[in-house]
Amino acid sequence: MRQLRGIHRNPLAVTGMIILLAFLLMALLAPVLAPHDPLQQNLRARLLPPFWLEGGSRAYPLGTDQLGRDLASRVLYGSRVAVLVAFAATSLAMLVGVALGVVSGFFRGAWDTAIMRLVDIIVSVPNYILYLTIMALAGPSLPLLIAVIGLLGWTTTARIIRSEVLSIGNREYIEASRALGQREGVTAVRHVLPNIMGSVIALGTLKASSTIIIESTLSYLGFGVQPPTLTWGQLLSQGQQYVSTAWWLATFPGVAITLLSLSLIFLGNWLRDAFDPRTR
Amino acid sequence: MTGYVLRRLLQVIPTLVGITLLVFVTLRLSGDPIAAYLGSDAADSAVITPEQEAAIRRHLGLDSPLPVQYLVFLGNVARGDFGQSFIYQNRPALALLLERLPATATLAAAALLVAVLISLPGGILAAVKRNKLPDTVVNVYSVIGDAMPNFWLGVMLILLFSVRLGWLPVSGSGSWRNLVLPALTLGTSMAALQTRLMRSGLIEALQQDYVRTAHAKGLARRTVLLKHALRNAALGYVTLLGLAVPSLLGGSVVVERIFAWPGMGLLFINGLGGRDMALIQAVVIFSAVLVIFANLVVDLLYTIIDPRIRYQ
Amino acid sequence: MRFRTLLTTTALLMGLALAAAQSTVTIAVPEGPPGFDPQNNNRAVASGIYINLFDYLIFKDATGAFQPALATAWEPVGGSAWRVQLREGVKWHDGTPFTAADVEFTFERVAKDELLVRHSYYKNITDVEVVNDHEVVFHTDGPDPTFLSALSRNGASVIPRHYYEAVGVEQAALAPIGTGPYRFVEYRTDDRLVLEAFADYWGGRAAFDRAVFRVIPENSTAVSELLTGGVDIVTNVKVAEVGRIQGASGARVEHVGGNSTQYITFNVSTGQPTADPLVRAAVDYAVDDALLAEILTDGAGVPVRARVSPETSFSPLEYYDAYLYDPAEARRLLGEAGYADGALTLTLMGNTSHADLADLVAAMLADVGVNTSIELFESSVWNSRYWQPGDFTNVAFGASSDSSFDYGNSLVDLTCPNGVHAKRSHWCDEEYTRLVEAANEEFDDAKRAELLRQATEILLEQRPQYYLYSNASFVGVSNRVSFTPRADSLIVLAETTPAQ
Repeated sequence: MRQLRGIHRNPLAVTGMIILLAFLLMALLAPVLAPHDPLQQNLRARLLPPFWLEGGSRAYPLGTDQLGRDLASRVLYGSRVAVLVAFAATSLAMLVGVALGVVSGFFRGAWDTAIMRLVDIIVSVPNYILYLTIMALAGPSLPLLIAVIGLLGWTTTARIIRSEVLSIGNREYIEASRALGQREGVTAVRHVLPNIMGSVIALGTLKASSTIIIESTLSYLGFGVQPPTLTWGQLLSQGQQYVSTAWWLATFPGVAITLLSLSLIFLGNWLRDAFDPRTR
Repeated sequence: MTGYVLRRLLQVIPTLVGITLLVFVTLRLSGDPIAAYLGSDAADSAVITPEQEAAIRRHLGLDSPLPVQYLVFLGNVARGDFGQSFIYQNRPALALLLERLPATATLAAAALLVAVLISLPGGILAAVKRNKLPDTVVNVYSVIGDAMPNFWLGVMLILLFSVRLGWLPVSGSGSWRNLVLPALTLGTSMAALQTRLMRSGLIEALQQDYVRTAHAKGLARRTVLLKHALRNAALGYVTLLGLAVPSLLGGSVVVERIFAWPGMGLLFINGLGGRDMALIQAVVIFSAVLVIFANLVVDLLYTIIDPRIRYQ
Repeated sequence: MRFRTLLTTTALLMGLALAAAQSTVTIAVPEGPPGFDPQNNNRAVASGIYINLFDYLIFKDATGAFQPALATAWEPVGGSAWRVQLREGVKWHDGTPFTAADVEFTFERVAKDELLVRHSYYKNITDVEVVNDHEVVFHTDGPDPTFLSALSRNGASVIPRHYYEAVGVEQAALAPIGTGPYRFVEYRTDDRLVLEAFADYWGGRAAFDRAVFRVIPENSTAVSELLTGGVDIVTNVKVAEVGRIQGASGARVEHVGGNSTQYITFNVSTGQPTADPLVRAAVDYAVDDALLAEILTDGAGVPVRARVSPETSFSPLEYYDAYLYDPAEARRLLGEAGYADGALTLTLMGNTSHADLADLVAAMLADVGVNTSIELFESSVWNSRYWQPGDFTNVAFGASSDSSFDYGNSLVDLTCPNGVHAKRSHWCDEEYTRLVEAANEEFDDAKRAELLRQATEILLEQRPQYYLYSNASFVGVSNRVSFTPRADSLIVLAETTPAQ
């Protein structure tokens, strides 16, 4: 992983890394950092603005919502679901994508045809239409959201991994181990996987960023994770109802979504370049 | 050429059958379509007798075994019959969908125009001035465009341009002024990806041997850029426009809701909310057909732009 | 070719000039009508629009009193029939005279076709007997004192026989013909519906020449349209947007109560902690209905103890603007039921729109030592779960309205005829069922009110449902127009005028 050493020369990647770590810490330490219980209502302090504005209170640094709940604490706790969904769904998608990509590229033949046909089917239906259909009909929930993004979001990964495997599959050492009669599966794992790890990580990072956007968009349309589970998408879509009377309710979750996904894109772009043989 | 087109068309068939199976299984496995007949929170209390329920099931063909239902469904779809929408008083789902197609097509075309107007000059500028200020600006834009949810951008645009400044109507359809904000919302986020790909495609093209040779031959920089590199980069760009079809269709679901734009996306959301099976399956299958068709067109364009590619 | 273009352009310009001279009222609605078959619609928004195209036989005015519409007089005949005189000189929008044949066609269709959504509300009609062109007798399968309400509610719009028979149901639902104050011009589904005043309307020409209904699903978008002058009326304004309209200069918020009642349904089947009436009573005492109404309806809703409102006939109004709230009593009841502090955990369920309500109730229950877990569902999922199999744990949130605005009809929900209980609560009470059934066959108003009062007392004592507050609905109105919202959410344009 010597490619990763150059991070300090890329200010965007450093920024991304810092933001990402900050969010991970937020998610991990939410109970310690949050000034309030995110569900604790204070009906005498409804729709308070952030503390630096007139009428705001230092007890509620980012203001309160329609039931007087602390927005800062809600955004903090919301980061847990965002990070969880991004991590779990992405891992699942990468796992499926890499496995099917490797199988497809290495064994070729009927496997390849079947898997690529499946990819064709999935990519023919626009993402959101497919996600929404399944979420709406099966009844939206957090595990389903992760499963849907994970089990349908692997197509790009599978295609890229397949072509990478195809390109390194012809290299001599792989041919050599084939010739030596090692079982093909073992060959696949021992030689192919280490070579594609870089692209997998880079792809995964970018995928995680789009997962966050997908989660919030499904929540906005009402088919995402349902309350009382706190998610940024929900905070944003609820807050959007108050956008002209209490702008902070939608703004801070919106900023959080954008920042986290920004940090992942910075990192992902850098990783992609770092592992890209053409720029290496 | 004709043989190639025919072969490509034949390849589409198994994909389409796969999609119908996917749609059918998802729809039948999940929930009871009878629910759509029941009242919602705001309507009258639900009163439905068992006899009425049985009649509805018979009417929808839900009383036969699943494989039979699938074959009937497949046969109907092949004839263009996607069933009747029960939230739209039994109108044929396909007719409802076709009625909405022009609105979505207009929005998609306008959004694509916005995306091209941003990504073409943006991508070229960034590639030519690589690692300089314009490149950084374009990069930051393309990253933020990716990182910002569409619906959030739409709401912000309404607040700024319609409510605060009063320049444009908030929502609805009818004139070009209604189209501006939805097209901007959908187009700017699409432009992010396209700008990036235009930039990297052009950078790659500029590093190709023949471009270097052209330079060496002493051709003016501008000529090299326009004649050789751009032509080459255009290949990737055309593919991209074909790939834009699914994101346009998916994105329209969100944008149409925000701006009350009466297209397919809005129809789809209504169908989902009412668990209208006919409508949902029509939208899913129809949009898949559009995507497949767009890919086909892109492949054909490819062979026209780049004569090196043979119809294989 | 060129000449024709010129002609079209000229016609278009003239049309535009005419349009400018016409007065138009524009109304934003959250969803489009599904079509224009009034008997196949369950949506309140659509019936709110239909009232401008079609007429009922009898129209309930804002006070709930029956007013003549297409019927001019009515009287019960024997135990199970109603004689109705029809208005003469009424014309359909295509000029054809309206007669008893249309009434016969309308009600026999809805009573017989079980695929129609409104079928179950009219299936007790056994025959519509045409006496002459302007008199009919409705025969029902038993005494039905609420029959007049059925004639003036969603589904009772009279439709033209000649048109349905000539063009078929599908076409009639696409381009409807009615007797109402406005005639259909154009509907672009889920976008805009254009209507035009019907000069020959029996009640006189409406004030606005044109009415345009615009479908705007996003509430904040609709309110922005109101504030920028794009629309004149916005129905179904959310509480969150009320302040924004109040702060603006060109528009105002009107509100009306009584359109629906917010309540909690308890699952009383064995094994559920809510099977114990003491627990249900404790929840009633623990929850502060007035505070809920204050916060969730911006103070416009009214706490209630039953599904009552001044707009609903036969409502025992002593349960309106009344509620129980006594945390100490709640704790005592819980102790009596055998639950120590923190020993009882209730699951609260509902749809996503109940999020704030559920959170508030959970906090109130926590104050009396009851733990809660909240599970909310996307609304179509919730509908199939709650209404049909009654599949929920402990406590469910719901809201109900009844477009007939007859208290006796709203009590039918919880009856348990022949031992078949209401699926939702699993509650079955013979005496309650007997009282409601008797009331809904009783023609004497005083006796009927008394029967309904007794039934209500059983509900209050047993609490299969616990009623929170009577909802209010908000309507944003531009200062250019004078419009009064109605509890039944009908958008009555015949009574809407430019502001003076």
